Amino acid sequence: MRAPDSVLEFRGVVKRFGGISALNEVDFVVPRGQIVGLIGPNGAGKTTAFNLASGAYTTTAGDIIFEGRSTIGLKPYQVARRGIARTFQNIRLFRSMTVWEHLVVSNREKSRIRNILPFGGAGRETCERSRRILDLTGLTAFHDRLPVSLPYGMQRKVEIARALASQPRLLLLDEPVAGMNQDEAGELLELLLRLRREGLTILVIEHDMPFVMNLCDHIYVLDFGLVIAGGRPEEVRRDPVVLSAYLGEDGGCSR
Amino acid sequence: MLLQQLINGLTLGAVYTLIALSFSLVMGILGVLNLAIAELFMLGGYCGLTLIIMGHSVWLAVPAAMAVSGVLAVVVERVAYRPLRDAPMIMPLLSTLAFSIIFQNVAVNVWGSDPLQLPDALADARLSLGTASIGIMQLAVIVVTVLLVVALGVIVQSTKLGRGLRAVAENREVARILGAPASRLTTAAFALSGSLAGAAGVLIGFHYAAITPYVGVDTGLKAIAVMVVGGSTRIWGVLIAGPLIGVAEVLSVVYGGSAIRDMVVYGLMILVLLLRPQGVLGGSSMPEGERV
Amino acid sequence: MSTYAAGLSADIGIALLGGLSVYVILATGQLSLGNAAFMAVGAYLASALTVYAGLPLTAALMLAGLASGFLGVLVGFPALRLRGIYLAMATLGFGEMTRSFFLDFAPAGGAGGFRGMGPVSTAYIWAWSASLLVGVVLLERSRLWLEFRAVNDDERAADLIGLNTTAIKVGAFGLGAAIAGVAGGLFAYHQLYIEPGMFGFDRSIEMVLYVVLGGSTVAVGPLLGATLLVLLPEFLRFLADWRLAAFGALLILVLLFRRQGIIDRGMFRGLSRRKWATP
Ligand SMILES: Nc1ncnc2c1ncn2[C@@H]1O[C@H](COP(=O)(O)OP(=O)(O)OP(=O)(O)O)[C@@H](O)[C@H]1O
Ligand SMILES: [Mg+2]
Repeated sequence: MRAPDSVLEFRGVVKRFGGISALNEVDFVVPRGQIVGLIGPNGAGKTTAFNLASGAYTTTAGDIIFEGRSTIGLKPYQVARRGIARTFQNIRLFRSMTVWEHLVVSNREKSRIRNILPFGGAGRETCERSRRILDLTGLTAFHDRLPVSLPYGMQRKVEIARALASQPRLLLLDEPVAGMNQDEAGELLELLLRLRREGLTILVIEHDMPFVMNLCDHIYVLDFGLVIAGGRPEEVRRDPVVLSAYLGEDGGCSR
Repeated sequence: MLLQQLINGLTLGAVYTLIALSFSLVMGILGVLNLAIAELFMLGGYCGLTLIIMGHSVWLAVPAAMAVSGVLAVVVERVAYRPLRDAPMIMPLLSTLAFSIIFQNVAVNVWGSDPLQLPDALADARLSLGTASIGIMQLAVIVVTVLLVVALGVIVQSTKLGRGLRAVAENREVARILGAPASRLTTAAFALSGSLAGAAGVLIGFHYAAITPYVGVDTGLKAIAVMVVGGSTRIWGVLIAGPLIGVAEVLSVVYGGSAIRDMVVYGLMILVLLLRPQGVLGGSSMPEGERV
Repeated sequence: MSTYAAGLSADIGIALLGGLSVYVILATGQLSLGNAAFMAVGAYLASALTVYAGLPLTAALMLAGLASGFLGVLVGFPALRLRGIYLAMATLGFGEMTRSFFLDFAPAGGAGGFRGMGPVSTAYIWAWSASLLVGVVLLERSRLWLEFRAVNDDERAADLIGLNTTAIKVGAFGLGAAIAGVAGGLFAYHQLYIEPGMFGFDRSIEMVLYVVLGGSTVAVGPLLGATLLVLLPEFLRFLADWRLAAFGALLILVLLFRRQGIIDRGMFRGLSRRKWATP
């Protein structure tokens, strides 16, 4: 391990889809307890990196290390059980389930028996934790609603709540602010900072620059499947390579 | 003797081919198993045989049966498919099944549950071919099948309608987005498919020299297997699979092992479904490339 | 209860089990058009175990359920590769294969069928049906059932939040098949005689109909569906020869105007949610 305590590490990761290389020898490290940003123009390969980290896709080459152990060859559910939870760029909630049920199903019960006990699925511990997550994400009042009946920004929160319910040690957020209004984005910022204080490590993809700059301890910039820069927000903001590749024309970080 | 059985097998196979093509037209374009086809086939058979018994020629009976089954297929499309086209595939599956229940009931009430026999004079007329002989009716089966397959080939390969159908079969999603005139194509696919089934019904009547209201289910299921084994969206594979299974069936009836034969046919169907992750059938399993 | 009513009631009990067998598998998004095959296996096995080996019926039914369930697991694995209509066609093929197998299987009487089973009481049949129904209803209130539904709603997402979708789908197949196996055994004893033709495509479709008509999101759906479909021919008796056509038309109407089946989960939501929220 290079970093003192890295939670997630990409080592020379390559992902090709037929002819196109979505990721080309990508290396980066997510240290424990930090919020790390992954930014870059459309099609840079950010979501692909998430898909590899969560086991949804298999790597073409390279190694992915989670808490000191490689996750190569693991099925997605095995990766999730190791402690990585994620949200999706295109929301993927369970259409027949209420918000509360999303939390219950995502929360793995340790006892197999409890799993099949009627009404027992949600034990006291599970219930308390789930209530707390509802509270944190501001979904308490909506716990018995179906996803379709919620506005888009709220659905994003349900995705985050579902991810949190699995008690991850690494949270992957794919454009969590997309579709949220200013207030909601502000609340989310507070929530993520609070989760970090409680020790959660977060890797976030986001196009909203002010949000990323305020949130992250460290930022990696991806372009055409390569990490072209990495550093503290203010360093990245000033990096000429980054400016020309990504932030240049629209001055996305000026605000 | 063997040659004779081969000829019998070919005529049965010809019928399977036509019904399989009928299933495959709707399946390829809409991804729906139209279970009413089995009974459209049976009804076509009754219409055709009734005309023949009344003394009309094959050249009237077959087109008439095609017209009746084609029109009924459009009714099925309008009532049972169209309102449910966005529903899970189980819905159109069952609503077309409902139609087949209705059709079968109608046939039983109109023609009775005893077989409708072809007149002996026709059924027994044979053309000698050296050591073997071929029944006039068997000859008709093969001639009509060849004509219909050629006609279908022309329609699919070189008409505007055919190009549309192929485009949709190639990629349903893309075709929908590009705005292929889906509604008209859907109707056309059902009509074509229905008339093929109708013709096949007349031909099965020739093959067995009789028709019953219950001929649809067994033959229909077999034809679904033929469609799958031949590749459900590619039309031409069926031309090989149909005769093959027809010959296998006739030989196994004569030489024993007909239950084994069915196991082989359906086993083959399952195997084909399993071994073609997407290829011929398109989307039968989860590709790794699915976007997340 | 007249013997006639008792007969109908037994029919409903067996039909209910057939419906439940489809229901459990469908809960994970898998449509099986071959459940009559599991029923056949259960029917022949339970009959052979009692007639040849002299086992008590209850034990034989349990073994039949286990064996069918095991077969269901075996079928469930290849089924993982298939989706939607392709899975439906493959299970249809499996059903026809099984039927042909029994046609040719001399020890089970082949096409001639198998007899020697003694009559059972309607109460006995319903003891099984009711307990299995209660079992499924309770299962529906477990966390495991939420996993089933998650797989049905979005398999990929379910996988990515840590659910072992393979185990869930195969397990559902096994459970459904086991229920069908018990249904088959009871069917054999109710009919006193079985032959392969009783376990064809029609039977498989019937089981699916119980579920789709009654409602595929709650276990009482199949109960209602089975009851209606068994009794419907009686209600439609006045139509004489046109009974089946009327049934087909009714079926179309229900599918068109009540896609989710007559009963759906929404009607029960209030009830189950409260249970979740207050441990
Ligand atoms: N399943 C797939 N099959 C084929 N190509 C893919 C697949 N997933 C991603 N790609 C390709 O990989 C490249 C990177 O895509 P990716 O989704 O990772 O970009 P991104 O950085 O997340 O972009 P955005 O900001 O638009 O979400 C793109 O060229 C994309 O077309
Ligand atoms: Mg992306």
